[in-house]
Amino acid sequence: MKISQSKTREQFPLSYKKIIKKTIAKTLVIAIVFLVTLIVLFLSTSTGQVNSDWLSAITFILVVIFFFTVLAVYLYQRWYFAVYFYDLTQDYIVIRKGPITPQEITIPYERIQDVYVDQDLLDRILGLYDVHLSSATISSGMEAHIDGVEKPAADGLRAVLLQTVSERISKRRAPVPPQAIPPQA
Amino acid sequence: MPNNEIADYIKSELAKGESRQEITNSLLEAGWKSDAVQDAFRAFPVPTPSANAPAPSAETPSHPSGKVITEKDYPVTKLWVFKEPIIIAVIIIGLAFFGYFSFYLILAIIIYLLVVPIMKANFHYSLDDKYLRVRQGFIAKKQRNLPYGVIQNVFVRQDLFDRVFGLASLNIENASQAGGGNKLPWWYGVNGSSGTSIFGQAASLGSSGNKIGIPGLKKQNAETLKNIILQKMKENPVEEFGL
Repeated sequence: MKISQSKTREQFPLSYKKIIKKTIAKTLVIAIVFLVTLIVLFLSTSTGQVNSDWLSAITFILVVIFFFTVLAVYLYQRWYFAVYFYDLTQDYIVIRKGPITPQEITIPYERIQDVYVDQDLLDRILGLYDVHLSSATISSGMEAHIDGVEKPAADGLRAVLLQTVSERISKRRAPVPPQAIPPQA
Repeated sequence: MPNNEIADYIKSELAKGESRQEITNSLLEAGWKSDAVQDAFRAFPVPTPSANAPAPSAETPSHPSGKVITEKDYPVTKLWVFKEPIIIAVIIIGLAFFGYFSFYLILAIIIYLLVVPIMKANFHYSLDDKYLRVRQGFIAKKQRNLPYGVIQNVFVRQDLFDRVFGLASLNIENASQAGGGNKLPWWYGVNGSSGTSIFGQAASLGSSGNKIGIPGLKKQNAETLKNIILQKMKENPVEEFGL
């Protein structure tokens, strides 16, 4: 699948582990639903509401459905990964995601209030990092994050963002122009 | 061989919009040799109008300065008026397959068909040199004037309906609470990330809370309008910055 590339994504690439992480996270949820369904099924068999002859057949069908759902989730996550776009342009940060219902947020550097990096449990296990940045609006806090990068990329992104933001919000002139080096002999 | 220190300095100052003359002056004051400065400047060719900000100008039709852009230039499409009715109609047809029929859904279509065109007819936005102005309301009128400098972020969103019909909605947010507190709809943040439901959120028309929504634009128009607004944000910075 074609990866939607930008300069920033080339420099600080998303990790392919992101696909695995997202798939695992969604699979856990699906697995819980699946297990609950199975337990209900077994209970209703033991109380005689469901004919136990059908039990193995129904279980088999459920397992097949489970695996196809996980496969679908995996393919969707690959697609999501491929269209994930982020770019630090000269004036703005652009983040666009969502293969079916795309949404794109554009934030000027001057408006960045906060840059932070975090990890959840799966991130810790897989060694991934989420780089969040937000302006003063609630929705930007929800939308504007680049998640699933590895440590070098996370550090690099954070450094570039902090550097650019501080350059932009410092007073318009740099305080001291660089000093001349002594003329070489 | 241009000096890296000068080059970095020039780059950062140019990015802040300083003029070449001023940068040269302050470098000379700091004791740099004139020819070294000239040499370093050679790495930063004077931007020609077409090379300046290629992304916006490539897509942005040149509006002569002073021209006010309104909803007549980039209209909310007529199709958007029929968005909810179409979605409800699909639901009705879907339910019909299962043998259900709801009179209330028909009623909802009728109400939407009455209300949405009135809302759309009373919704006006305009982008002049200094302000993004939005007028809206049929009975209760509201006018919103947003200086470009305070815009916090710009969204371009497409929900499922938009995607199918090639529409997009443009949302502009500042940090105010103009709607009287943060009235977040209940589905906001239910799934933690998107804040968008397939049917709601992206479609809001006009100003609500800290947001101005221009829904139902053609995708291309939404991109163009976004670039115009970004350009105006760049031209009208505010001096007091956050953080």
